[in-house]
Amino acid sequence: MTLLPASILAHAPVLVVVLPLLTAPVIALIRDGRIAAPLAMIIAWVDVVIAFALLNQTWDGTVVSYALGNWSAPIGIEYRVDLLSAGLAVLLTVSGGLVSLMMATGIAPEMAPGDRSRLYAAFLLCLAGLLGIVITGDLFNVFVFLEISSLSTYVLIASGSSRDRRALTAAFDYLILGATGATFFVIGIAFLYVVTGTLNMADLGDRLPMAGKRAVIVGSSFLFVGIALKAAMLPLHRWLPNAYAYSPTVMATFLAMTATKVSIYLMIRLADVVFHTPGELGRVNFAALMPPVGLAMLVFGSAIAITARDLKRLLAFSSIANLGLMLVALGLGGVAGIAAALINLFNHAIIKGGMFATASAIMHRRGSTQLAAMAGLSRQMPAAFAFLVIGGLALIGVPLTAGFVSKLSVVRVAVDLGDWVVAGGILFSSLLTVAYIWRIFEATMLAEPAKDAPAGDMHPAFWLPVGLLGAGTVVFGIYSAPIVELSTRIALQMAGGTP
Amino acid sequence: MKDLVGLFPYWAVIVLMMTGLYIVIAQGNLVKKLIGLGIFQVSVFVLYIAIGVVDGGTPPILDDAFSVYSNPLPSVLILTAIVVGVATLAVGLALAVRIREAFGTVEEEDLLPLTGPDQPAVTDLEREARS
Repeated sequence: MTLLPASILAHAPVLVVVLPLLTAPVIALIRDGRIAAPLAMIIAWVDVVIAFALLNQTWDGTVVSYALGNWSAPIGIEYRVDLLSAGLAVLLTVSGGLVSLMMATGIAPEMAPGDRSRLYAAFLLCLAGLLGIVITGDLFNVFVFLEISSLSTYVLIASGSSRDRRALTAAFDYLILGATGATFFVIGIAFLYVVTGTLNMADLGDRLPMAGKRAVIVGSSFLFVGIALKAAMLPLHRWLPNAYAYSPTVMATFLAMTATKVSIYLMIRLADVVFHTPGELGRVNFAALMPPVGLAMLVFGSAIAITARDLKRLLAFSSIANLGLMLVALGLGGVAGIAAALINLFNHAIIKGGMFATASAIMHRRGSTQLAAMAGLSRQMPAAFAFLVIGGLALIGVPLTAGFVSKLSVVRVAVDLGDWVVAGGILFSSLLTVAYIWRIFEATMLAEPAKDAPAGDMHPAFWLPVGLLGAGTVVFGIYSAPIVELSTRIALQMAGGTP
Repeated sequence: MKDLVGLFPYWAVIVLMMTGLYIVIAQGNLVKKLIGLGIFQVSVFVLYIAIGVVDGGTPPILDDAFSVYSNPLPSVLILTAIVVGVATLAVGLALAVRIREAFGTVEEEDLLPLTGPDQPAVTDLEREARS
């Protein structure tokens, strides 16, 4: 099955990145948001097709290598697409596509019309940067794309400022932390480059065993701290709750589905390519660090989420908890551990994306996502309420939802390894999850609705993204094979086996 | 003594790096934070350029008279990183200007009580109405 003609398919690895990258400035120049939004949407969906073509190409374990400017690796920059890259590219582009469907409507109550086309440009730049990170095979290129996505993320967050001025300080805090983290990342690259003389990740993996041990330890530590910050790993999580809570809700949806996921991708990629010991980041045993930190994030994130007064902030802390779950799975290691981390990564993007998309619909109708302002939602916006229930049940891990598949996969790995602390910790955090999901139900279902609450359910523009993500949450809970199969194949390929 | 002189660029890197990072952490003024961030990033630029130097090497320009060249790649990489640094600084300063417009201050200690999660949201419209 071919999705694209061969002449385009041959350049797919670079097209998927370059297309949004080059369209972004054009869109920024179009001042009329009514033209800019559909254009951004078309580009996002063309990217979805290209990403699926790449997935189709790499499904059997083929690694697509693309020499930029026909300079072959390791001299030139190589774009290298294996199943892990292609899987992430599909996740990123589909997230971008779904968000692009509702962004023109969703942004309306949160931003003045004249500025919107520049927001769409920043959105496409962010998409291009994130895609670049997962597609490129060059370590310095990863840094450049990391900065492209980060800079556009600061703009996306700050765009929430006309609704709440705190978006500005949230963006500034993230800029200081993000830029420091990215600089740590470059320092790490410098150390690895000094001892190996290469920046190509595959090449680096071959040469590192011969390199000086101390420099590699220093370099990998710097890299790890840089990535940990972007992954909001405790105690470097401080930027995330404000960034999600104050950015425009549609863009928070995009960030929740993609940004931190790419950091988890980098952890998996660097564990495999640069350090050649799957599940163990470098010769310092970062893997041993992950289960305790991950468990702390699970408990901390869930506990703080209970106290949140705003739906977006609640979901942000819930994201920290879920990132903890991914780190726990990564730390447990092995093929099953990496597969479990990936299952969590894909499923969480769907579940949390669905909940944030619903929050966008509520923001659009009511101008607020404060829990206190959502009284009577179950009667006034029954559809939005239903999708919140589906997402909430999935976050708890109720059977027949994608969340159950995610949690089961990690618990199963922990039980197989006899790690009862981890298994118990995950179950305990599920209890905390019940408590914060109950807070949503309590606010929307039991409280008396305000008399002057705006009438009407979700705006039609939200139906497709919210519906698809909600349906995904249920479908991948009942028929979990596609995501489990993809994740297992990737983990096998990472471990050096054939998928 | 040999270490002190021969490794001079690296000593400079360490001093700049620590100075920059300290300013980012310790200063409460947002613009000063950005200056610290700039110094921190510059230290990395110096680090990269220093690792590209080859003892006794000439600048990497092709000429029959010379056979040992310094490594040009780190300098090229840092050209990209400088652009990234400038872009970060530009976005950061733009945010600082907007923060000053919205809150009337760029001092962290004055901003903290205004930006807590339980503070009421202040929109553009309300701000314009007030001023």
